[in-house]
Amino acid sequence: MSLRVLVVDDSSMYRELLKVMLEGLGHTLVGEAETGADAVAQFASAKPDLVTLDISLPDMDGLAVLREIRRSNPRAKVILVTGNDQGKIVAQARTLGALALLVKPFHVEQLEDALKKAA
Amino acid sequence: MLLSFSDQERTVLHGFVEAGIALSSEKLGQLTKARWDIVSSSVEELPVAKILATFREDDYRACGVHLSSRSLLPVEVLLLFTEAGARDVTGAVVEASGGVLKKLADPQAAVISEVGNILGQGVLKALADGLNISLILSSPRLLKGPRSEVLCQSIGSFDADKDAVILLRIDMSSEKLASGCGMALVLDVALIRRLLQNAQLA
Repeated sequence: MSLRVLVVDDSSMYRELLKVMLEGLGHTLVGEAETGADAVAQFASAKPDLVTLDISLPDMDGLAVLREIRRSNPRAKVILVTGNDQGKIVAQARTLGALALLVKPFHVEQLEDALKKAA
Repeated sequence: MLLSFSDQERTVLHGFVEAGIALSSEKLGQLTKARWDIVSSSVEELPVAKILATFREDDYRACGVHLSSRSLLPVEVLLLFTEAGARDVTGAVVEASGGVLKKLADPQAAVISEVGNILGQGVLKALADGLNISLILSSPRLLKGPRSEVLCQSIGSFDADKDAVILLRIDMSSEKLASGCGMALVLDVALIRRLLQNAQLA
C-alpha cells in the first residue's frame, strides 16, 4: 500500500535520505518541514497518511509536535525518526501514540519495517 | 571555587561517557558503512576557564557542532573536527549514501552537523539513561573558524565557578580512513552530583 508521507526533520541530510528511501519503497512525499510549527501546519493542510518526525527541532521538540498532531487527529500515524533513543524518551513517545521509533542512522529495511506498522 | 567530583562520582560519570563513545563509534560505522575502531580515547575534567585559557591563542582551523539541552540537566555539547577530518568524514558518509547526498546545497555542512548530532546523542543517551532522566538536544549549530573562536562561541559564556567541562578526545580508524574528534560536555557539577545521588550511583 502506497502511503502519502510528511517528513519532519531539521536535517537536510535526513530529509533527502528519507525522500529517496520513501520514493524507492513506492510511497509519496507530500511535504517536508524543518520546524515544529511548519509540521503542525502542513499536517493540517496536506492530511498525510503518515508523518516521520524528528525529536530535535529548532522551535519545539518533536514530542510536543506529536502531542499537537494527535490532538488534532487522534488517529494520526506518526513514526519518530531520531538520534535520541533515551529510555525515557522512547517511553514517552509510546505513551503519546507514536507507532514506532526509528533510530538514526538506519537502513532502508528498518524504515520499511516501521512503515508496515502504519500501512 | 569550582566544585569537583568525588572519585566515586568521577568513576561513574566516566563510565557513562565511555559507554557513550562506544555507542557513537557504532553509529558512525552505520553512517559510513564501515567498521570503526577506537584507537584511543581520553576523558578529562576541567573548569571552563582553563579550557578557554588553554586554547586562547589556538588558531588551528576547526569545524564544530554545538548542541545544547535546557531540560532538567542543562548541558552544552561541542564536537570538534579538524577541517580535514570533517572533509574526510563527509566524503565517507556521502559515498555510503550512494551519492544521494551530493545533491544537497552544502553537503559538508549538512553531513557534519548530522554526524555531530548523532555522535553527541550517543554520549547523551548513556548519560541520560544512567541518571534516569531525559535530555532533548537543540538542533545542531555548525561553527567554523579558529579553534579558540569556536570554543568561545559555544562554551565561552558559562560560569567558570560552577560549570565543569568533560573533555573527550576520540581517535578512530576504519579501513577507509583515520579520523579523530574532540567532544566537550559542559555540565553543572552540583546538579550532576545531585542526580547521581538521586539515581543512587554515588
